[in-house]
Amino acid sequence: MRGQRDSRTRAEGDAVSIAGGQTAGEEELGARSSGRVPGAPRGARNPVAAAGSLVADPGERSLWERLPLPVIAVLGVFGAAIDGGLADANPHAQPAHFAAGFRVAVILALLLAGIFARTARLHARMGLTLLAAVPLATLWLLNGAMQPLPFTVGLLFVGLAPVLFSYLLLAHPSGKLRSRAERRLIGWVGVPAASLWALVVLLHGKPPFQTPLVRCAHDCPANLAAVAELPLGAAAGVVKLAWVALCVGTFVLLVQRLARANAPVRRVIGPAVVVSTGYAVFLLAYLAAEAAGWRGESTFASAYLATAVLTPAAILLGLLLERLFMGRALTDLLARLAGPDAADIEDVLADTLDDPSLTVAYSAAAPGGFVDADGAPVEIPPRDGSRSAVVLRRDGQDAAAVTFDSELAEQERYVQAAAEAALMSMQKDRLESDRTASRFELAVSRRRVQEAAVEERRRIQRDLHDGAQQRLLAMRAAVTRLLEDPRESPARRDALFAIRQELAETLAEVRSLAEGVYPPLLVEYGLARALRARSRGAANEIVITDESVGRFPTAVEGAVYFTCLEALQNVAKHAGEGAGARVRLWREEGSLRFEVCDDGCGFSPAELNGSKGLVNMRDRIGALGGTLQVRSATGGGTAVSGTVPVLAAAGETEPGPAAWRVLGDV
Amino acid sequence: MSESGRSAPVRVVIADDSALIRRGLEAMLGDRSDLEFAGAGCDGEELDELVAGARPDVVVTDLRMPPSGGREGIRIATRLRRSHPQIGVVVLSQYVEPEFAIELMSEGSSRRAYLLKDRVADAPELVRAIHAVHEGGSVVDPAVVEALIEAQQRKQSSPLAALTEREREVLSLIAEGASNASIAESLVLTKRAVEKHVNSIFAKLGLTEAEDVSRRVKAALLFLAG
Repeated sequence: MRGQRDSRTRAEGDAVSIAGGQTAGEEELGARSSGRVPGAPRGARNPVAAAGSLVADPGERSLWERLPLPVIAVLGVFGAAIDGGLADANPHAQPAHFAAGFRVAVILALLLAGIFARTARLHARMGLTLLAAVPLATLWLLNGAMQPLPFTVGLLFVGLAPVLFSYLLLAHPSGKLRSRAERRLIGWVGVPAASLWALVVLLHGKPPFQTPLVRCAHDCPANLAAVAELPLGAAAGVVKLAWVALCVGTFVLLVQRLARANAPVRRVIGPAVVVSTGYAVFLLAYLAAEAAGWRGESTFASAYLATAVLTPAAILLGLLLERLFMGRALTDLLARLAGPDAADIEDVLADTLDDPSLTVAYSAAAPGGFVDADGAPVEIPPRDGSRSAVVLRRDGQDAAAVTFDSELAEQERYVQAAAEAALMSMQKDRLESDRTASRFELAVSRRRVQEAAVEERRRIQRDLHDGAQQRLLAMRAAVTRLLEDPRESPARRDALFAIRQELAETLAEVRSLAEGVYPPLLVEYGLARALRARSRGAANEIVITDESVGRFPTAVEGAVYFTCLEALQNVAKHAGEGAGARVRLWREEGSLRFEVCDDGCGFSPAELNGSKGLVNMRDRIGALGGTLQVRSATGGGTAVSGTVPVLAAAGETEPGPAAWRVLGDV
Repeated sequence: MSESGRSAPVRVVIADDSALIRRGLEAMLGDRSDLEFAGAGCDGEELDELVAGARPDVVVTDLRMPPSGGREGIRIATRLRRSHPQIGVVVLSQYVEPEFAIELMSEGSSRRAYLLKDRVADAPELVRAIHAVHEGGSVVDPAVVEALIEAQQRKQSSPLAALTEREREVLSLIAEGASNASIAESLVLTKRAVEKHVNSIFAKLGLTEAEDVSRRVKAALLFLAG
């Protein structure tokens, strides 16, 4: 059966799925225990249904699970009343003077603990187990009756009582048996002992031996179930041995678990360990006293019986402590995660869960894959190893996995809750850091844009000052000299020609300067035509498609124009000889979109880093709230594409392109 | 042009928002007997009044002018094409941009000239353009044509590569609006030789040959702007 199921069982419809080294075993237990622990909740057999108990999924639930708690409470109280009433009416019922009270106390303790556990998602499973014990205990405690029928029923179930309490103690706090040893103890010792007891009652007619509750030997009410009167003295010894083994085994297993557990787990199972100690010690003492005929026999019997009442109480106390601790620890965890100096999430979780080996893995791009914070692949542990894992899901997809020591599997739900909180905080952190990063980037980009604008002004000022201004000053000086001496002469003619030449050059200089600042074609005709005219002189073949995008605010047209120009210049410089470029301009959902792609040699992303041209382009577009992407691969060409948001009102179309088309038909 | 100078002088109105330019043009026109200054305005609206009142043969206008501040000169030319098709228009521009010349001629290139403003200081060039548009021709500033040719030559695969050096010169002159006769004159060729070159150029470039000089200006411009 092992190995057939996926190591990770997903709770359908829930954001959480559980993978645990020991989780898988429950199916095995379920299949076996179904025949031996009558009335055990069906959900216990099916791990999916078990996980489903965390989720609202009525389709997966048994009748018992669907029964409303008030109904269960009424039924439970009714059972307690019957058992108590029958025992009260029987003067020989054990324990003397407290027969009715004891029975009512046991049933009500189970009922209360079960209802309490059932109300919390965290302990729902344990709640089911406790509540399932209520009808079994009710049947068992019919043994206080003097009427033959209820007594017979009670007698048959007497052998089940130690198994029931062992099961409850071992299943605490998860509601299910986790280890192979636990399942073997219940399955191979407890269930046969209970069966053998019932068999003896059937074939022998009398209880195999006196128990703390059934202490009649010859004066018992008639056993209606007796079908034979066989001598089965040896069987009684076996049953006794099995009981001892069961009690001591439960105690040993719990102590073992206690020794392995970390502090939080210890706190949860501590009360159960105490009870199981008393359970084992008092049973041994009682059996010894009974065998030796000691006087203290009934005292041990009472103490032993008290553990029956204390078992649900201890479980309840453990669950309360767990809830208390979890609440506190989770609050603490959240506070730490939200704290200003939030440490590494892995560290915080490891610390909170007291498991230094805990690791957090994140969903990788490949489905089902996980990577650690550094991007190295992480194996999700197989379910039977020393490691367990909780996989967290977000929006139907694996988001992260927390792997931890299987010892912590006891606290799987807690790991889950803690990891959920951590993941949530992590997502918040990531959002926050994304936002911070983009805010920071925006500020830097804004400053660069401003600096670039200032630098541009300085350049224009320098060019004007060093060029046109100097030339004009020189010409004014020359003209002044010429005016001082108005006589015609060849020298004067030469000087005038020189001035004219100088003027023409100054004019050309100013013209090209002005054109560089903001091209007149862009002002007059908009992007497509300005780019088309500009690309005319390019060495590369450039095709421009514009889908009549129309006009946009000057800032938008300028930014897109210079960005496209920069991209085209890059094509000319880097794409290689013969590379063609295509410029596409179009509108999309309130945005102006553009793309400049070439079929040139491309480049690897590494070459792009720190490219000033790219930073320029990003800044220009970013300043308008737009985005820019550059895609390239060595040998695969380059595509620069961008989006600039534009208000619908800003784009009025203009007849320019139409005129162009008319002309183009000539 | 000199022949037409014998007949009535060409009436010219000027539109420019720069008083300096207006004065310069007026002075230039005053110097000549074949041209007559018929008025000046400083924006499109004043020009409209002048066109109505002074009945000019040719309008010399700045490209950028109020009220639009944009390419007002081209708008005026377009408007006049409809209202006064017989009026020639010379647009003076600061920009060596073929786009403007192409738009100016988009609704027909006859009687239209696109000259750089530098020509205000270069009387013969401007006078020639005024006469050319008056006579139904069209003129494109050589600097603009040169820019187009240069751009074509920068291309890795330009159809101009198929032309000989002489043919390229002829093509430039065609684009500038020169007639075969003036091409022959400026390149010192026989008129027949020019015709042969023109035929060869149009065949090589796959253009349909237009007899009309102004139409072949447009064809050549568009081809060069390709």
